[in-house]
Amino acid sequence: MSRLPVFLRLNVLLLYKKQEHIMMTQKIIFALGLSLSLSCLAAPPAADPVNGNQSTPPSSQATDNSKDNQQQTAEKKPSMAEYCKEHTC
Amino acid sequence: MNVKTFFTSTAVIFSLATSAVLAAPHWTHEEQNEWGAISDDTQTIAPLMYPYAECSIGQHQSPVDLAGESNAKQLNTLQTQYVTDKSDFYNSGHAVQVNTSVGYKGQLKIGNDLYPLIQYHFHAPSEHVIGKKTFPAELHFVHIREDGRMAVVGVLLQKGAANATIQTILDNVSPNAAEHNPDTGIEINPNTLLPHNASFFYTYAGSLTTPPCSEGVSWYVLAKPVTVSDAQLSQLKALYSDNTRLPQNLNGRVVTGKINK
Repeated sequence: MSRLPVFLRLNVLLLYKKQEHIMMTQKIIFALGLSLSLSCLAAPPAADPVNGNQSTPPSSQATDNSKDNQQQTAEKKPSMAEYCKEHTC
Repeated sequence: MNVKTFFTSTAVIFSLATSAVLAAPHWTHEEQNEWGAISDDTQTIAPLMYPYAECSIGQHQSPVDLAGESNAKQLNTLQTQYVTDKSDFYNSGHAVQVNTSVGYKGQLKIGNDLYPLIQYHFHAPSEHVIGKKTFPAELHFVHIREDGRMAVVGVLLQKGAANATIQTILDNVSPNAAEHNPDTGIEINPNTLLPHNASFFYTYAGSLTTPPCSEGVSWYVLAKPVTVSDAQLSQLKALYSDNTRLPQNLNGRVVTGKINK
């Protein structure tokens, strides 16, 4: 490679860098996809039966919007609910 | 690498994961010690090849022996807010089951949290035991929130007077596995399957008792049993007997109770 002209050497270097960049991007996309899939599969933590429901995320608090929550539940059942209707769980 | 490629890759992996849950491999109660090793040959990604791995490696599994519960000073109140429903009587291939209809409003209220009732099903004999005492059967009310959180209410069944609602269920469920019976028009109020006093219960953090044995389930086993007749038990066992998972280790968990002994 040392015998190649400078512009050719630069071209080879640029090609190598581009390839490396593509591979790194692919790895990041795969890791993101895998973590998303696993987070969908994993069950959320159980509610603390003692001392209230401090583990409840704010978005799922069913306090003064219980009617809205019921309507949302009726319209959109989660996939685990579908599974539990077809299989005994 | 562009945005289109990113979304395509993510969608492919997501659909693989979803199909892994919904199209689950076959399992039986006889081979419950090997649930975790059942493989899904359609999968090539390592975690998805063993969809029931949690049954073997999970540390917060259900059922458990409820004896030795400790009384908690402050426990959430438990309110079953069930309403009448035109139910789908279902032989799931693993249990006698009743699915609630789409849009069913019945729910369980734990503290301030609401959990919609999805289905209820029977196990014979009981899965939860109290000091190694087994009951003839157990009824599980499965509640799943939109955010995925699950709560199951267990009702222990003991021999005694017949329960009219249980008789209706047994008379309308198909003898054939994986067969629904949704068009009977029969209305059932799940409250009629609960003991008169449902305010006493055992509670702990556990899992589903069948594959995929997902953990993160809040368990509430009512302290007062409900009665079923000998004939009803025989009818139930004729459909499914020994569809019971054995008690699992507590692994440091504590069963708390609101018990009136």
